[in-house]
Amino acid sequence: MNEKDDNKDFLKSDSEFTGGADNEKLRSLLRTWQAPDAPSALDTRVLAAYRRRNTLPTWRRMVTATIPVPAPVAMIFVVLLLASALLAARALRSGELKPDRTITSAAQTKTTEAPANQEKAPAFEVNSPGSVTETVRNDSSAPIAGRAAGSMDAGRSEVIPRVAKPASLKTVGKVHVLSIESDHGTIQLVTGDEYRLSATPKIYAGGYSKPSNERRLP
Amino acid sequence: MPDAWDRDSDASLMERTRSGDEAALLQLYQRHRDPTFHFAYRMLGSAEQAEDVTHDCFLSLIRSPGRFDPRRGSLRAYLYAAARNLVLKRFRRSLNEVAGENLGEKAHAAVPEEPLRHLLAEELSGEVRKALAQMSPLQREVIVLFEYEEQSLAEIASIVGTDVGTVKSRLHRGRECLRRELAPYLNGAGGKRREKSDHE
Repeated sequence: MNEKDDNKDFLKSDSEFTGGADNEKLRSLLRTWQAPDAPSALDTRVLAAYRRRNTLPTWRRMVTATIPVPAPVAMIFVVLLLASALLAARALRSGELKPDRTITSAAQTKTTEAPANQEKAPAFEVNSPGSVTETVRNDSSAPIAGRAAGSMDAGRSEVIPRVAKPASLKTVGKVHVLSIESDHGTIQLVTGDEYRLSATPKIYAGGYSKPSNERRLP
Repeated sequence: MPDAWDRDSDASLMERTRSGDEAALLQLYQRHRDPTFHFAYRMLGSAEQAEDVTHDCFLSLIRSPGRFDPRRGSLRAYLYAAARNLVLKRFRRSLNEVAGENLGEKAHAAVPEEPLRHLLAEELSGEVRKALAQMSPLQREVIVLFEYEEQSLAEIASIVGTDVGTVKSRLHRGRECLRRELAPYLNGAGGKRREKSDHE
């Protein structure tokens, strides 16, 4: 069949395709092949399927519901999911990803000023020249027994806190963020899924410290 | 005389079917069962496979009625398109089996009263079936939809997902192929049989 014939055919309308003696002959010949009637089993199958569908409880319909998603969209979604999981795992492994629990709602944050008369009951202790000791109690007056001990170089105002009794920090209960502010700086304890202690001394040994120093507790 | 359910549009019946009206589904089913089945049968050449395809078409309609959009075309066209997709899927899955074995199933001829004519008609319908089986599926579907199911060129184009020009081209080529294959029967009834007996 050459292209000319095809082009001539494109110009024909439905009626021209239908009409013509040749086409009529061919059509009557084709009609000698008749398709059988649809079997009655088909009626039963279709009706049964419809009834099954309608009698399904709503919860089951919800569970078995399907959403057609184009394959490329599904592929992109899976790739994005894998990539984000990979990045998150890598970040966690290298310690880059630390959940910032200091940004919480006001209801979750409690700041306790260290009272001057409780200074002898140490909760967090920062060992340094001229040692600073702070005592903190929560609202229920139960002593917070966690103890942090840090070391600081004489010339550098960097505090690296260390926790002596991490298990006892569980007694903190609902307190998620506990801040201790003193003239020397701020010590912050974050509880929740994991404990984190950070110390931000203001002035020490005659100079300014680094703004923050954190250590995640086990 | 059109009765009450004939006047109901497919779209309104679909709405009722969706809300659980079994009578509406039955109306729809009775309206479209045979054309869908016949199309599938002529494409596959097997009543069993055609039954499965027709069942799957209606099942998809029951499960996901939202897929049918009356603004895009008629329900008949939607069912033909669904049947076509299922048929082509079967072709892809077992091309040889479908092309070779199933189309060898005994053809159903229009049954005239006299026994001799009945025999002739059976032979003729067998030849037609063979000629159609030799065509490519894309040409066959156009021939079946146009010659047997009496769909317009535009409807066929929407069913097979192409433009009218392509449909015309496939129809033209398909007819040429059929004319070639059925030439003895087109030029005179029983011509081929006479040729055969001459050779013998």
